[in-house]
Amino acid sequence: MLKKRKKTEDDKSSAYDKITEQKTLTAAPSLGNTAEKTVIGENISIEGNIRGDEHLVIEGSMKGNIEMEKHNFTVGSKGRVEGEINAQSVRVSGQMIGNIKTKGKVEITKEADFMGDIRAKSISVEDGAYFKGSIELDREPHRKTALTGKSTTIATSQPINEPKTPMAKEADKEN
Amino acid sequence: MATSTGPAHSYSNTGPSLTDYTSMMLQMYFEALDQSSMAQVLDVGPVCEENITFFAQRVKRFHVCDMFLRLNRNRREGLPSKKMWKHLDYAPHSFDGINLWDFIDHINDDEIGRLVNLCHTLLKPKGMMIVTSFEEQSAPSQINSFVIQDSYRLIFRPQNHIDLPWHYRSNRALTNMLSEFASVKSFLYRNGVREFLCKRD
Repeated sequence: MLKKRKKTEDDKSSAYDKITEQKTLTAAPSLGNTAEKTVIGENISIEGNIRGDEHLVIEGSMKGNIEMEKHNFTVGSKGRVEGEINAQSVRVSGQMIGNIKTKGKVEITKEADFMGDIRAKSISVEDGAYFKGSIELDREPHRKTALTGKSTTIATSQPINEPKTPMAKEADKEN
Repeated sequence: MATSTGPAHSYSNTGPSLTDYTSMMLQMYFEALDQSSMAQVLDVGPVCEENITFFAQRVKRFHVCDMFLRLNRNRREGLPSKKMWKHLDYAPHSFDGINLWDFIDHINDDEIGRLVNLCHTLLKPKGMMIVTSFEEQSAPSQINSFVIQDSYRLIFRPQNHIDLPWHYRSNRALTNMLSEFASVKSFLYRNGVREFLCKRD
């Protein structure tokens, strides 16, 4: 069931009870409390687009696009989402197929099964996550230069071979 | 095609510990990738946050298709390993670079042939591919990520959630298997890592 967290206005919950398939869900406007969030429970399936002004957590099944540029979107560990996401930041712990666009951070946790393309300012991915897709980070000017490290440590290696020549023998190794 | 020198081995818990090192291959690879501001690179895993960030900050678009985890799942589900190739469903000539890391150490000779052929198709002309492989006596006790640090330093991080067989191949067998590509440079390190930088014609 759809659950409202940290809401003070009881009448808002009734609006969410009307959610049915093939409808677009628009979350109630935020009252300025940044901790407000809506949780779609694991026994709920939604088909349609969602536009909202508060944080959203999907623990159920969702097929459709999410538009919440100023709020956070989470696919919980039991959540299954198929759609395009545009949110302030995104965290994926469940299954997701679709593209993510955010001006903030994308977090892919180790339980996640993610297929899609990501455009974000930064990304974190835990070991163990399944990930098929692409990443495009918003790059700051000169960032590339700062990362360029010219290695001067060549003594630890030596070429094994040049093209089409026999490989070096064990005795050739540096030890 | 060259064959591996022996059957697949299981990892033991007593393998040698891996020491980090500075990768000459990686430095040459990035010098080539830096020639284009629109470079696109594919990495076959294991998924590694540091590598994703490192590459994504330096190339136009960084693609990840975790074949280690995919192969691991196929094995657990009893699916033939050949089914995993459908996940590398990219258009021909999509990439300027492909990171295979040590994935070839975990598949058999026939699958390597298929993988190399596929990578040749996916790379753009003059595109480059990086391959690593462990020497037999240096085989680690578990699957590891090659984690990129500053100045092309590589450290190893165990991936205990992945359990794959390990195949040792001689240098000659490996170069034969990669013969579809021009060999740019190969390196051998004290820690037993072999690096191969290959280029598509």
